[in-house]
Amino acid sequence: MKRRQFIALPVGLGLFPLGSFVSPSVYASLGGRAVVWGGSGFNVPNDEIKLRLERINRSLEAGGQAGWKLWIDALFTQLKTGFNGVITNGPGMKIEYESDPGLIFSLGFDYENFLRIDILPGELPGDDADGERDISFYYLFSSIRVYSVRLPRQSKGQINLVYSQPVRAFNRAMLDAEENSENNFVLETLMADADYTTLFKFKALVRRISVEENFFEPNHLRVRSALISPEALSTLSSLELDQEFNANFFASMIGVSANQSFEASVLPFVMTDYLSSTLRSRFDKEPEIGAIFKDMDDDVASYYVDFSVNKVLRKISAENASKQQIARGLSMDISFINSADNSVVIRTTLVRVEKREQVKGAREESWFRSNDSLYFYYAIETMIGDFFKGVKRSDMNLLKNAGVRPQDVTRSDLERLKSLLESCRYGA
Amino acid sequence: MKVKISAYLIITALLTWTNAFAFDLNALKKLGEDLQKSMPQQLDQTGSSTPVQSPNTGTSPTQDPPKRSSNSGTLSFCESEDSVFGFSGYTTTNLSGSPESIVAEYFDIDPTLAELQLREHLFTIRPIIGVTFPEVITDGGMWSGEARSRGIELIMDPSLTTLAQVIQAAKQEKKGFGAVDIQVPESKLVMALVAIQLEPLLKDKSLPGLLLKESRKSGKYAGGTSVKSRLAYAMSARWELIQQNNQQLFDSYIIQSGDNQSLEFSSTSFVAGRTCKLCFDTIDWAAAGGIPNWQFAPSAEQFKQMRDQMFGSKPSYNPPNWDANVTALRAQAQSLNSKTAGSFESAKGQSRSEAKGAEAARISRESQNTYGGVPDSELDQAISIMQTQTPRYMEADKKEALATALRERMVLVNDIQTMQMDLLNATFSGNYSYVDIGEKGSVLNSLTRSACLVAFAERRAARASEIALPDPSDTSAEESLLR
Repeated sequence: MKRRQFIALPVGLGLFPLGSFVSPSVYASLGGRAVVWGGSGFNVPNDEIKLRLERINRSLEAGGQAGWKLWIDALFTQLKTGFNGVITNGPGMKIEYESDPGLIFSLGFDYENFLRIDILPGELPGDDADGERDISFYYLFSSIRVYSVRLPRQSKGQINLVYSQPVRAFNRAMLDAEENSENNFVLETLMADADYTTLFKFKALVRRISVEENFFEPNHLRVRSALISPEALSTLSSLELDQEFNANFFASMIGVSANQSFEASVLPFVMTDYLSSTLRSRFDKEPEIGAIFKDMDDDVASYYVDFSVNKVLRKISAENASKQQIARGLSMDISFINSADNSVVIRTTLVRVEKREQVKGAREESWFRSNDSLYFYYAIETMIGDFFKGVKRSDMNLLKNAGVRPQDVTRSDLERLKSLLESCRYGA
Repeated sequence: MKVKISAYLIITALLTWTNAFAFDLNALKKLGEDLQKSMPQQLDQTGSSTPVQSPNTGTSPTQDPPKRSSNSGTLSFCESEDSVFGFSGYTTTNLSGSPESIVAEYFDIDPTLAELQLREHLFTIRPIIGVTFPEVITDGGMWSGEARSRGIELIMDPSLTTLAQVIQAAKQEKKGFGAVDIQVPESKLVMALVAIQLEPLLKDKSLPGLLLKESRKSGKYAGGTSVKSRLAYAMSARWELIQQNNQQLFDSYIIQSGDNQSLEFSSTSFVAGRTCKLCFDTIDWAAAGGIPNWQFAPSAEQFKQMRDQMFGSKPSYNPPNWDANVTALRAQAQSLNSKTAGSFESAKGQSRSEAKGAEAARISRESQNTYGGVPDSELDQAISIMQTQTPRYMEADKKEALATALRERMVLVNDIQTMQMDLLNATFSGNYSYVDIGEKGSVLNSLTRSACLVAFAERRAARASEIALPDPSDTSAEESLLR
């Protein structure tokens, strides 16, 4: 089944109009296997961008799309300086019919979450807690995709997905409520000179891949089915977390965690055709060349992940006169499936509960909501992260943190899963 | 001392409310005569007038310096059955389920925002109650200190856990033979009051009526075996009139609320001295035209005349500096309250909102018909403090400051108590108008209630620093719910 057929989405072109930016980079047609900058866009349908990726979209669009220009320039600069090979065809440039691009890099945004927790003057040490600023958190999940290309000349053209790396950027700061401050904070998360940014992850990846390499295509993992049970959805809804804790979030967390532990190539949960349509439009002579990009979004996953969030729990586990201890947790069934024969490699249940203390007396709803959102995020991050780490290290303590008990899986189950995930590693 | 205070309370209870009347006039007359006879035996001859020194007026040669009771830091007077409260101390009962599930049976409350929602609704004046919740829960018309304490705990800690305790207590049923403790029906009364306060969150809007019906059942108290809750009758009357538009039942219930049931109690008990303020305020309102041409208005007028003949013919009690001392105590209370409010707010540090309790209460009572309820403005500051959730002080200097505040608070309570003793002596001298003494007693009771409520809040804060929460790593119970 083709990816586009599966997700049955409208054309989700959330692409920034690259044509308006002409990179100052050199255009050197040096033959061989040059690298092409593909583009950056949104891995959500077009009409959901403002709903699901509102912060990043707003920040990039602000000031007459000044953010977009900075972002694209920053990506291309990293590509030029970091990549061990020749870079051609920067943003906005048409790819010559005679040229022969070898690799295409692109980056799409998958999921974001922005939280703000009110801080009173003096509540935190230091000068930051001046009463004007609150502690703000921002998470941004993205997917970097690298394709290997052979244009159709004497033989049939071919385009392969070399690697799809999900990455997460996380940032927090004391921030005032000005929109401009929030926009800058988001852009900082995206491309500041620090190791927590999306740009840093991109830079790290491009340095690892050489144009001289003999490219191969590893197995890819993809979240195929993401369900949130009515019971879990009802709880999330009552907590007003159903917008943030959606299928995209859980799928993104699974992708990032699998990648962090195994360097596994994980396809985005939602793939729109922003990249293929961009590339098609960038060829001088269509449709002969551009046609090969038509099917580049086909499902190439070797293994699928199906998951279902079954229950979500948020309860007061204890309290005294001034504080509450809140238990937050969830359970999730997760299956790994071989796409060749649709056989289940392993199926298990993850469970994670975390108890956190919370002072009483807050008067803003947002304070309570943000606490729930933040601590549910931590619980899910720990549960899924420790699961993949536990499989990688065959560590039952880590698996226990993820709710996997010894009686739930056999050692051979874990070995099979480990082998599966390692086969998805680029260079494996 | 206990006997003196109790006897004094009986008299002030009869006379505190300027326009109050009772319907059993013969019983009232007999009680008054009995009290007159008993005065010489009950008067503590060593007791002398010990007015409080006003800090603003300097030492007066006509006045002794204030005598202050030993201050151990306990709140014994506030918690005594003989005090304005009748607050017996808070005890928790075993819950039949999780607080969330127990509360969800009756209320639509967002678990995340429970504290916020409860506080928002708990301090709003509801016409059916007519006064603030802290005021009605401390009304002398409720006998049981145990039932009352759950309501007070909810004020101090508006959480699902304390609300679940109120609900659980209201589910108590009679077991075996004989009369139940008055705590059982009055726990249903507390739940009814809470349900009225939280009406916007209430699933079954008829619940208060059902609970009030149960709360009117008699129980055991102070030697009596068929004692009825006066506040339950007053609330039932107001519910029937305001919610159900049933004046006939209003009349029936409000008349019964005027009966202090003094003959029910054992001869050694003085609990009949407690006054049901809301009962008499409602009666006064109805008689004064709140209910046009109310059939019992003439009886009320007859009572007033009789009361004036019996108790009001003598001169007013006007000791030197009485008014100045009251003013000084009020100023002292306000000063201490301001310090406590500032300390609580700074320790919490969770909101940029100003404490809006007093202002909200004021607006609430100004904007609606309270049907005779007379909210006590003396409580505004205390309510504001109670609306600030109990802080947890980490630093040693803040803990010490809190301990100091609590000690100063007890000195204040003791000073008020000293003035009450003066009033007591004046009462038993038989030389002064009891009507005037009743009015003065009312002022002191109001000051006591405010001081005691803030003292409870301070004590909670002091204790909050010492109670640790359980080990957060034990999540087995919650995990089993998820599997």
